[in-house]
Amino acid sequence: MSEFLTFAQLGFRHIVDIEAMDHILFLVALAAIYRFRDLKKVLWVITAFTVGHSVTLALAVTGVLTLPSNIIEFLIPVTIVATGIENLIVRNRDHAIWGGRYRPVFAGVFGLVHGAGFANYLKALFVDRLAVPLFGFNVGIEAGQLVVLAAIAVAFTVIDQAIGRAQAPGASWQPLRARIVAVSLLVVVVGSAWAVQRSPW
Amino acid sequence: MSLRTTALLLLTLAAPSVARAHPLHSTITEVTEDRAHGTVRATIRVFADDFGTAVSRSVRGRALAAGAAWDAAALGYVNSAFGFSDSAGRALPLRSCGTRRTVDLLWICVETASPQGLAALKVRSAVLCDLFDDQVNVVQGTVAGARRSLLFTKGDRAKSLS
Repeated sequence: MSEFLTFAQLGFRHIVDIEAMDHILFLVALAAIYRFRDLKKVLWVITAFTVGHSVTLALAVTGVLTLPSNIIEFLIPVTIVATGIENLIVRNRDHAIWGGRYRPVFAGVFGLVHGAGFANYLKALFVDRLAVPLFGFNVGIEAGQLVVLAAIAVAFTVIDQAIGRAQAPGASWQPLRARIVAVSLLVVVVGSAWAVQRSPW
Repeated sequence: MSLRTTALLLLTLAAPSVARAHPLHSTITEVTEDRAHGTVRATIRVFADDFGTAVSRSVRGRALAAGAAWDAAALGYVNSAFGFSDSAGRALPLRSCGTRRTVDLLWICVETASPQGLAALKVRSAVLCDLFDDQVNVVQGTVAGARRSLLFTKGDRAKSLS
C-alpha cells in the first residue's frame, strides 16, 4: 500500500472511532441547525472547520507552533458547548449579525482548536518525512468527517420525522426548532461535563 | 420530568463517558535492510507510557528494576508482538540494537539476520494490540527502490512489504 493511503486510513479510523466522540459531538453541534436543503451552508461550515484544523495540525506537527495539550483538551469541549449555546440563542439567523453568515468563521476558529488536539499526538510520531503522512492523515480525517456527517444527516431526518408525528395538529412550535433545542441541550450538557473533567485548573 | 431533572440525568450519563482526550493509538515502524551485513533492522516508535504498561502486563505486573531486567522484559514483549518471518513462515529471532527516548516516545531498535534482504520477508506488528482494541500500527520501508507501507490492526497476520 502507498504511504499516502496508509496514513489516510489512519486518519479515517481515528475520526470514525467511538473514542473520537468529542470531535463527533462537535460535528453534531455544527450540523444541528441545518436541514438537507441547507447543504450549501453545511459545506461552507465544514470546509471552514477543515481549513482551521488543517492549519494548526500542520503548524504543530512541523514544530512551528507549540501548544499545551492540557489547555487544548479543555478547549475542545468548550467549543462544543459554545456551538450548542449559539444554536440555542440564535432563533432567527436572518436577523443575526452578518445575516447569520458568521458561522463558517466560527467553525474555522474552532477548527484551529480541534486541529491542535490531533497534532499533539501526531507530532510525536511524525518526526521525519512529514508531507505525505500529514497530507494522507488529513485526507483520511476529512473522509471520516463526511461519513460521520452523512450518519448525522440520517439521524436528524429520523428525529425530524418522529417530532413531526408527535406534533399535535395546530401546535405553534416548529419541528426544526424542537430538534435544534433537543440536540443542542444534549450537546451542551455532555460538553460541559467533559470541560469540567478536563479542566486544567 | 422537569428540565432540571432532565439536565441532571444527562449530566450523570455524560460524566462517566469518554472525558479524556482522544488518543492516537498508533506506532510507526521504519524497516531498513543492510545487504552488506545481511541484516534487516526495524525501529519501532511507540509512546513510552503505553509501552511501559504493555511490558509490565507481559510480566504480570512484576516490579522490574531499570536496566537489564527491564531490557530483557521489553525485548521479550517486542518478540511476542513484532517479528519477521521467512518465505517458509518461520519466525526469525530478533536481537536488540538499542533503545532511545525522545520526550514521550521510545525508539526501539531490533534486527534479524536476512541475507536475502527485506523482499524475502514478511513482517507482523501487533505492538500494543493487547492493550488497545483500536491500535493501528504502521510499518514502512523501501523495497526495490519503492516506498511501501503496511497497516496492522488487532488480529492481522504477517504481511509482505514487497
